[in-house]
Amino acid sequence: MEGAFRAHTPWAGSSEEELESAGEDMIFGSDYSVGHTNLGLEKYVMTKLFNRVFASVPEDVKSDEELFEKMSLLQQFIRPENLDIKPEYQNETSWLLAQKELQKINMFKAPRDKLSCILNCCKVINNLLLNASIVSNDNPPGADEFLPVLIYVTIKANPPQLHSNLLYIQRYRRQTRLVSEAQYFFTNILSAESFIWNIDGESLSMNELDFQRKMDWARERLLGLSVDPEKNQDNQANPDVQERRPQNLKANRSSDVSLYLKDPVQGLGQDSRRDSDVSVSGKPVERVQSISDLEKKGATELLNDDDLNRKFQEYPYLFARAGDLTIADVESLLNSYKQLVVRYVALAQGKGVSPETTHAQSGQTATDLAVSEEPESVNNVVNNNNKSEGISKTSDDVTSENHHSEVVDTETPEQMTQKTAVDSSDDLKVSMDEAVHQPENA
Amino acid sequence: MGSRPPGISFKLVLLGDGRVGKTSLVLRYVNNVFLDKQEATVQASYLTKRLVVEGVPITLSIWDTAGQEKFHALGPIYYRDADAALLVYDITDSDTFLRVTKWVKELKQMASKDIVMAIAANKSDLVRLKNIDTQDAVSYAESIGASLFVTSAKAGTGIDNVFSDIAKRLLEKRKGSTDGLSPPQPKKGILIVDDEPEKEPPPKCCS
Repeated sequence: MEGAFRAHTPWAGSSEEELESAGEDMIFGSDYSVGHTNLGLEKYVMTKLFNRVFASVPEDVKSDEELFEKMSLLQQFIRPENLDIKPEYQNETSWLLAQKELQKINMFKAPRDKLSCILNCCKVINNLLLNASIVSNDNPPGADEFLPVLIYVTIKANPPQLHSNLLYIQRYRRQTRLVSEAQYFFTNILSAESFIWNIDGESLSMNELDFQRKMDWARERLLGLSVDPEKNQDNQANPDVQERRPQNLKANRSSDVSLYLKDPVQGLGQDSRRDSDVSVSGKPVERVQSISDLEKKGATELLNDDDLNRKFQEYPYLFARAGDLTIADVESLLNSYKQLVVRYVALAQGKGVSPETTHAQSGQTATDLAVSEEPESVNNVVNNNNKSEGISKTSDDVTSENHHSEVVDTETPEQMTQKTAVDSSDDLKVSMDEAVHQPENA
Repeated sequence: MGSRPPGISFKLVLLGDGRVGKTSLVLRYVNNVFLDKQEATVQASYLTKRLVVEGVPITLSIWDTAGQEKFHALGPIYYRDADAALLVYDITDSDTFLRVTKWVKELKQMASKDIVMAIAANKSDLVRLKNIDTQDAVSYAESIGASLFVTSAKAGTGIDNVFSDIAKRLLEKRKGSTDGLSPPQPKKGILIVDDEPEKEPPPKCCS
């Protein structure tokens, strides 16, 4: 590739270094190379070839599906302790940031950009570990601390087509660029992948029987979620949710289990997530998705969506660079930001409430009580930001008990968020209603 | 990141059980000298150290590996193309020495055949709790063609010796293999002959 490049007139007499940087320039938008050619050679070529070479072999596609399914199951029950992550280094909330970086991997086609997502994910983990080590007066984090967290984050992030992404980077990222630190961290994610493929009871510090039981439980749980729309009265008013159900099945088609959980939680420790309260009481599985599940599902669908670009085009700032912005943009950006934050926080809070709360009983868990503080804070923010139509609607919902889909109509700054908003809006409202009613019940 | 370090660069993997103090050891080595020059260490899992051996500048890339038993099987992913391995055990804990011997066996099978090995008998400050006879360890090391160093990350002893021994032996091997390695020219843009098998198609990592 480079020979032809070098032979071309504008490059005659260029040094190795200049040629090398020409392959990368596009990223930095600089034009310091001879001939002012912003070629981004690798990026250009690989973007063109992407559809031909990415996950183009049936075996790769199969591996992708298997790995995705395995991680979907594992993420239902895996805990940091299973990977020997010391308590002082556990920080699941902040790890979400690292997961987000990794999940971006499918938004890019160029090997360099995909690799960046992995490196950013590793950087976030390292920074978090470093902070934790400072707090606990320990050494800076080494591989003993780093690798388990990377594995955990990878499982929780479960980016679709991870296997193909890693192969693609290995094959098409210029070898002279995949060196030193980048190579180290890339090797770590390969090693995380390998670990996940071979995961068994022993590698999660549990006995094999327990492990199998948990895997079965996770499978049933995902299936229960996927195939039983009738049982989900919550969602009946929301056709969108039902439409999307069959997609969940993809990963689980192979298993054939009943929709009801008999008593699968017995083998599970106290630490299983509170969503599982549902199954303890023998009720059908209702809604057990977490925010990140929803987000991931949405992202996967978006990726399969041919209109992907069109969807994102509606959000002018998404691809903007700092230099493109004018002072006039600040106000609208700030508004968008506030909307986004309020919506996200509210959604997260909403998802924290177990499905049982539909039957609004008092005297429940601490989380439910904590919810009672929520509407006030949301309203405060809302009052500070009356311009934002979307948010005032949310607050209307809280007071008016008018339950359905306004959220869908609002102009949110992020369609991705909106997608999840659709899905979880009912839960959110339920939680808010309950919160409002809480004092009476108590 | 991304740019090749100057001089000849070697990859060194650190292998040792989770409790033996690998991280402290390498931090002690890398930071003691470069404390002022280097920006604050962000992490200790990947570190580089420049040193000059017999007038030749070399760069050691030090790859830490997770030492917990459950990650043992991942070892080859890290040491496959390593030039050197530093095996660390804790003199107060005989299990950690057993693991060293396990790694040595694997390295003989799976790593490059002229990999340079060294063993660090760490935590020598806790000599009163010693569980492994140094003499036994030394003769073991000799039997596998490695050198053994008694180190203490806490007291900072023996550490420089380990790494400079590794560096020296790496350089000798390199000289032997390329037969009269030309001394590095001060010109920029020099091409470094790399013995990493980078040209072959990347191996599939699993299944």
